[in-house]
Amino acid sequence: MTTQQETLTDGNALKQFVVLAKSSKGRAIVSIIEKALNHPSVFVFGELLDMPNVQQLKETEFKNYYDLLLIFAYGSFIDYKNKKDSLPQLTPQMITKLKQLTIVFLSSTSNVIPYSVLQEQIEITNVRELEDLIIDSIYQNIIKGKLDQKNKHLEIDFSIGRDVQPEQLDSMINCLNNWSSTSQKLLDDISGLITHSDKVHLQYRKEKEEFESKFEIAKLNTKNDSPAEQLYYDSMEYSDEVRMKKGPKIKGKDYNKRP
Amino acid sequence: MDVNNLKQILEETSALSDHKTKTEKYKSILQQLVESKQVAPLKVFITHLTDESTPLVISRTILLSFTSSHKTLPEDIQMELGIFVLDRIQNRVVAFEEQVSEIRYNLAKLYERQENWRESARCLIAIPLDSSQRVISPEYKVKIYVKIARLFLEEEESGQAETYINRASDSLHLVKNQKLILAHKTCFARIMDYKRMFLKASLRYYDLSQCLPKDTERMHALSCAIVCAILDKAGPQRSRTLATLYKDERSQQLGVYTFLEKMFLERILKKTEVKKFAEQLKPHQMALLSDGNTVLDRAVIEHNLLSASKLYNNITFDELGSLLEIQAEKAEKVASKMVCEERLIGSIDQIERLIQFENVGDSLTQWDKKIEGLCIHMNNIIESISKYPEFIV
Repeated sequence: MTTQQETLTDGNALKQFVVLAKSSKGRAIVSIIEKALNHPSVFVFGELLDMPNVQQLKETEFKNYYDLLLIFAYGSFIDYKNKKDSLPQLTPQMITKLKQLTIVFLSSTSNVIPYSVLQEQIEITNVRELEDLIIDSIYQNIIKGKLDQKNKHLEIDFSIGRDVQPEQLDSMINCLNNWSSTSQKLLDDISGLITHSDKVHLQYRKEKEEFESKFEIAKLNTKNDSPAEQLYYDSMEYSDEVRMKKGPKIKGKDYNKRP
Repeated sequence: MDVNNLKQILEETSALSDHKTKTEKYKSILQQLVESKQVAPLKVFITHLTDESTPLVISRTILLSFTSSHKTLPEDIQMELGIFVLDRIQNRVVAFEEQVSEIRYNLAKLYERQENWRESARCLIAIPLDSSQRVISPEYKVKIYVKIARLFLEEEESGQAETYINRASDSLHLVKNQKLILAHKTCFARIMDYKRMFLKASLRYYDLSQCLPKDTERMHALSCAIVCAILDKAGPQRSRTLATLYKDERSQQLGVYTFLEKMFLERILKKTEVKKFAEQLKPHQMALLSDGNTVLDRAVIEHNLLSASKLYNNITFDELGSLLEIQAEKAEKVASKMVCEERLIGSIDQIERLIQFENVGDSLTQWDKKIEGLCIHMNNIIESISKYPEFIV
């Protein structure tokens, strides 16, 4: 069963726009890009960006729409702000989406993001507004995490994957190699611990068996004790009984009386 | 037919010796009087008939004919005559049980049409149902009791309604009529709803949503089930009920679905959404509680607090108030109550004016879950890659 997070990044929602882009050009492509950027379930744009008809926009008067799509695919809200004059105006839905994608971008660098960084990056001064945006992102399954007002930060547990730029691939491979070697080391350590645990367990079993055999021998020796010793124990028991019977009587019930 | 003339005819008829002829004569007089639609002669006839000098065998038979034939008269005349008959035989009710029952039942119907629910219920209550004179079927008993309960519900007297629905329940196991059983179930669900026993009401409404005959009725019952589940106090049983209702495919067709979805997914509800939902509530569901809140307000505040605990590690009273759109003091009060009742896991720091929520489950379990999630994610990625053999090294 696919989770909602997967449906946000598997590109299914984008497919309809990719299909439309195959047979469209110029102004029609711009319209498709606008619809894709406004769509509530589209958060990855790589396939659309790779379409030849979209790539051709670079050489037309609609280059600004291509640049905007690039920002949504790889950039952040700050990138948009820096190039705002040369880019098309965003709808409220687009602004919200770009801010949410900025949170995703920040979560890829650190799993604890201070409110100050978030406020600076997405230009929200009001904490309530910032938290509302984060809550909406959590409800849309873009990120998973917890807000911390005492320490004024957002703790990230999960965030969706964004489009990967070709130049990011090397660092990504390094990252995966590191993860792979760390996992291998962890597996080796666990394997070592298992071996050690088995060894300790065998040692314990051996010692337990030795103790039990010694205990059995001791029991047998006790049974075969001399009759004189046996008499000694009996006489001791007898003298105890006599002493208890001669003890001071308590008025009422006789507590020394044997059942 | 004038009154004096009628009196003479009645005296002549009563003097007849043959029982059969006498009965036939009375019946023909009654027929003529009903057709004439005049009240005064009919009253004279009833007076004569209910007089102690008229033999019971005759008066019973003719009164029984009257109960069926007078239904053709205009409603106001029916009412006047019904009350008049009951007044005439109030001292001899035991002798006319069947006739009294019929007249009272008809009167109740007339009052019901006028939306005079209380009087209608009173008429039905007066019907003798524990009689040694005649055999009363369990169906009839249940029918009357359910009708009384329904009428009291219209008057919003859930206490009285419950009394009579409980009486109906005693004989329900003997009833075979499916329509009557459903009427009883519907009434019982409504009583639970009125008594603010919302969880019980929700379960009963949901049961009805699967067995009522008409599709519109089933959908209405489902809608009522959702509303009642939403209004109930937060807790594990309510969560289970919400899950059942949310997973029912029919729920998606209802207007309350978006609200139900947010409740089930433990998402914060905004004031605008609550306002929209409140428009669908019945007056008794909007009644004020001792703390000045409505049932819905209480349910929403508690729900939002639980939802906030899923989003925050900690939150200040002021921000919590702002998030839930209530006063900070109120937010603190509700939170402390829920923490005390162990419906919310956390602690309150009044110096720092902060609520610290605690994660359910120990850190090792959570770590386990994260590893599991990572492994599942990795598997999905590997599966996706395997679709493209050219990428596999």
